[in-house]
Amino acid sequence: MSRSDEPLLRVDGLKKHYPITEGILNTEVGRARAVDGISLELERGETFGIVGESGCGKSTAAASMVRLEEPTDGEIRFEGENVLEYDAAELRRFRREVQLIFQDPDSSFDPRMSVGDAVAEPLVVQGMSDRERRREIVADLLERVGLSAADMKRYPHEFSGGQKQRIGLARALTVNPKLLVADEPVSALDVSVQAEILRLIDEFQRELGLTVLIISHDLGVVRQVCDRVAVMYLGEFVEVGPTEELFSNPQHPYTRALLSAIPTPDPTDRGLGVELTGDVPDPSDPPSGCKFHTRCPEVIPPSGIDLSQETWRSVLTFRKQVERESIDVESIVEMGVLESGDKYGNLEEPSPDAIDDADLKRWIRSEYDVPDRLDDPRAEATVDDALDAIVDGDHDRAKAHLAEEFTTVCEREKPELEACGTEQEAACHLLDDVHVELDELRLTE
Amino acid sequence: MSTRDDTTDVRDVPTERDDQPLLKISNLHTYFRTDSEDVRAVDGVSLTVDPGETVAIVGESGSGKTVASEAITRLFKSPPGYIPEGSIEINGREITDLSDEELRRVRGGEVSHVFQNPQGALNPVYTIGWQIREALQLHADVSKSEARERAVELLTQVGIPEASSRLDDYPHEFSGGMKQRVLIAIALACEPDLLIADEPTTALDVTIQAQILELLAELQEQRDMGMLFITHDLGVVAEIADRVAVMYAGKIMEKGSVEDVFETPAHPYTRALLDCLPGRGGIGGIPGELPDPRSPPPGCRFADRCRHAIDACRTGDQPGMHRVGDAPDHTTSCVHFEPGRDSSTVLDAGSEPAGSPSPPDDLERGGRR
Amino acid sequence: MGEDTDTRTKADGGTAPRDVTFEQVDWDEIDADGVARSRKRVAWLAVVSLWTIGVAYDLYSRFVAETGQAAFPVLGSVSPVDWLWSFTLLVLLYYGVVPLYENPRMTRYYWKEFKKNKAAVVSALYLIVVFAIGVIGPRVLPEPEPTPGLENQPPVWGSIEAYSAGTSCAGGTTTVDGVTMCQGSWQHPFGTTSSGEDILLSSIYGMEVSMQVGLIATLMSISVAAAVGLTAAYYGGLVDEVLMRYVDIQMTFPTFFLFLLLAYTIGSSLFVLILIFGLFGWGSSARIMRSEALQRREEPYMKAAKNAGASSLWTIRRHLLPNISNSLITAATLTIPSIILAEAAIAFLGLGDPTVPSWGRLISDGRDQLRTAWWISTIPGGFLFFTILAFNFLGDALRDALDPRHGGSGE
Ligand code: SF4
Ligand code: SF4
Repeated sequence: MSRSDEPLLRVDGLKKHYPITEGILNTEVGRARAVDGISLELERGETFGIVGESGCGKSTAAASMVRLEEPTDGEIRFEGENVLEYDAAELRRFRREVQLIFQDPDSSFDPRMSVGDAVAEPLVVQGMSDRERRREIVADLLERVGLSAADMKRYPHEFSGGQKQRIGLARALTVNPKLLVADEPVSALDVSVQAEILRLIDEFQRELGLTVLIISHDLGVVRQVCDRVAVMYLGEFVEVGPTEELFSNPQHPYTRALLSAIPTPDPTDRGLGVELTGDVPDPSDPPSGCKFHTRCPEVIPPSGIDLSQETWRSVLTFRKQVERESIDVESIVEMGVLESGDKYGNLEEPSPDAIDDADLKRWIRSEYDVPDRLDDPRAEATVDDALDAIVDGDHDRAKAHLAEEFTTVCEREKPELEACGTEQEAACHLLDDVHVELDELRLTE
Repeated sequence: MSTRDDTTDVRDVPTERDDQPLLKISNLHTYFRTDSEDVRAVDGVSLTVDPGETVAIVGESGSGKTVASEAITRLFKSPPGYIPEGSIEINGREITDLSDEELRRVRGGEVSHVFQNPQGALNPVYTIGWQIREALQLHADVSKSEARERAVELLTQVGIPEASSRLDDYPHEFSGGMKQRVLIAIALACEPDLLIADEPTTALDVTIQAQILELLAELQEQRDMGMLFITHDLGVVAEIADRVAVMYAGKIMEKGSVEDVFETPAHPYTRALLDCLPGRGGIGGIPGELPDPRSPPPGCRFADRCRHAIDACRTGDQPGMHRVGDAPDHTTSCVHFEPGRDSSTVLDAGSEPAGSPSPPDDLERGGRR
Repeated sequence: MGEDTDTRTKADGGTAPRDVTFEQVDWDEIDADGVARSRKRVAWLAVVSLWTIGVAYDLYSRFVAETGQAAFPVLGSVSPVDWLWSFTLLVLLYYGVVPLYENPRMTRYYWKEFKKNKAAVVSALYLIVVFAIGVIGPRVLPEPEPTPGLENQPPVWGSIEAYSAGTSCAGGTTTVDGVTMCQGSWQHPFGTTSSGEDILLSSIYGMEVSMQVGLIATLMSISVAAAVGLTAAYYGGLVDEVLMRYVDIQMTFPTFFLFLLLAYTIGSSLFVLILIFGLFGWGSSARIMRSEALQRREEPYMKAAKNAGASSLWTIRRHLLPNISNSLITAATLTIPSIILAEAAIAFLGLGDPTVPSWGRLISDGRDQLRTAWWISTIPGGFLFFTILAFNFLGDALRDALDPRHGGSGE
């Protein structure tokens, strides 16, 4: 029916943007870039995982790949056929080849439909009209997922979360799909049940030669079942690679940060390593260059600046705040007065004018964790100038000073996914040197 | 319970404070009335929390851990919920027989809660500042400007930048992690002695969870506050707790210091739970379901799912808490640890589910590549 | 319960040559097969077609051949209201009774839940009696006729001063304190009206009218409301906007006035009344259903259906509709009493068809004689009152009982 050398699913430059509209005319004022250009190939029989924090676009990515959401841009090929050009009948057949398992076992079943009907539904809508045959298929499947055929007549609320997820698996398998997409299949379940469900998926995968795409925020789950993993951040893949390599030798700073944030069940190994500060930026206004540079603990300093990584991170965060003009001097003054005790204790209305410039500058620094003196004299001078400008109320000058000195390659240029191991790829400028070296090596050879 | 009378006034005697626990729960039961039989959510739990200590209750859904924590200040809905038996002492004062009015002073005063879902716990129509002020003014007579100052301080302490300008923001303007910080600030408003944190990081991403856990640990150290931490995640327990109690079906199965419990997990349930964690080599979960909380079977609650179960497990009551090894307060509720029995049956068993109901034949090869 | 399925599957597994597991299904073959329908559905379609043909023939002979009402074998001529009535009964049978019969386990469960509400059980009994008498009574009993001489007869247990009653007294007379009292009799158990019509007979005919008006108009109204509300919620966007703005406009125009307007122009038959209330009174019901459907639309099981390849129509019918049944029942329980009351009010005011033996008309008949012949207004008034009350109780109980989430497994 199709060329078997093609990957089962090939996704190229997939984008899904949600327009942000305003007013009664629904004028578009912006776009939330939920998925912003991802590509992947699913080989037959493999288990591929997409991990990322909530809001990174992983669920939207999955929904768009199987056309439950219409993608904004990109190409999807299933067994070599262009999925986006399917007509209604082809789409219905495609729905049969690709089945989903949902996150929340409580809400993914129609509470008013018996379990038997729910599991048989894909059969009915796909046109199997023989009732007896449907019943037999459903009975067989329910038994194979560890329930009994008698459960057909019962309703979803009569089952526990784990049982419902088994039923969810049965429902997905009724039409014998080739691709199974599981969106957080176990994150609503207890650990003791998670393992059972994952094992069940695994068993069926082997038995039927299924291809499985797992979306999860839980790196533990992904590590347990996936052959390959993609780490997603703000709508893009930042690192893709075989599971073991990716976990044992993460190349992207974000992957490293995620891994180090997982609590280990070992009380002798406390402290959660590198921490990411702040939250994921707004996807309708993603940062330029590398989207992670606003939080990256390893963000690259401009050449000629000699600061510790931590200090450099705080200087850059400070600069970002200045740029967004969200330095709130009043608030800093209020806090400063509160903490300074006697010196300004008798001030009626704490206002920036009543404060010593030197004090104010110190307070601003401490608010953004910028040390009182930077080790690098050039950087120190720039920060000091910028602070002067802020105290004078001249934000443009502050911005200009900072931008001139502290612009990093990470915000200027967008890193592309590049190979950094046998099959591992990551998108980070830190790896550029490696490539340069690799290239040079190749040239000299 | 018999000590009730002579401990009511202990609060006034400061010298005794140090050697009594901050929270002492003894033999607590919490039932919920239904049409037929009562649901026994908590069925005899004893626990202490000392000042400055973090005790974690770990358990899966249906274990009764949340009800146990809510029973302390009677937060559960009543009726149908009620406490048929048991005693709860805070700083030596019995609080199960307090009136609602008196209890209200305990809530948010000596004892404060942080809940799982930061979305639902803040009122969307009031500003953050308003909600913190409310918490302050409920328990202390403070002026508006004092309350504002306190609010700014609190928000700064929980790591919200530019606190004073954010006071006038509404909850929807905060991210999930920030909301949880605000809720912690509210919980701390009245300087509680005991903070009860019920799955405070479950709804958050790992990176945010790490931030919140660090914050909680930090705050606790600063204030020498006792913390009762409810969670289902053994990883989080290992990260934050000093002592841990493992709950199953309304009962405590094992308790002890975190080091002891993770090093030598004794109860078969604890061991199975640890085996479920990725990277521990275990596979396959714990087959079976929780017993019916309406009419729990005799003997050990875990017997139906336990691979070490013997006849003695299915008669009488839940086994008593027996010492595990030489550790001072590491105890477990399992017959194999009764004096005179050989506890190594459990302790030396490997993690492979030897006699589990349906061994997955093709998985013996050790999971995936 | 259900063990039969279990064993049967196992027993068949070895012998039956056909595929019973999902891997063995040849989907290309099924794709080529096209649609087949179940026997039940075929029967239903046949019945509906028969009905449609009947209506078409009736319309043809009335308006095209102009031979007047068509005469059918056995049935004779069928009035427009009877056409609607028969269809309503068929729908109630097919969508209400048949599923209950087919699924005895759920029926038992529903009944168990329903039983808990004693008021509702009494209401249901009362309504079943009223409904049964209303459906059968008028087919077998004579029409109530004005009987000169037998006016204002008291009910069987009562009496009335003879000068207030007609010339004769069915139950004979007695003398109390020197006044001749006319006694009630079993001939007219509930007495008669001021024109000598038997009140029991009239009330029975009134039951039919109330049931017809209440059920037919409500069925029409709820169907339209559900169709509009669900379509608007499911598709959203422009469709939603257009439909809901239309509802806004329609609701600015009270159905009652619309009826008055039409009553003056084309005459106020019961048929017109039913049509008006059925076709223009669904605005608020549609809004209730839309708002619930908007929430349900976002549920993951809707996505699950889409993922299975289900069409919009299927998803709406099989998932959206059952899950807004709370709103649907609420809307229906609000609509039925309000329409019955509206009809009674119209008849009371004398704006309805004077030949229709409605409760409202009876009540209005007796309103001048409340002092002397109180039973003329109060007996049909009592029927009206209890019918409305019973529908309200019933609605509440149904809403709770029909939700499979509320309880356990039944057995
Ligand atoms: S490109 Fe720069 S900011 Fe982005 S991950 Fe790499 S080091 Fe961090
Ligand atoms: S008491 Fe028996 S059943 Fe319970 S945990 Fe111990 S061995 Fe298992």
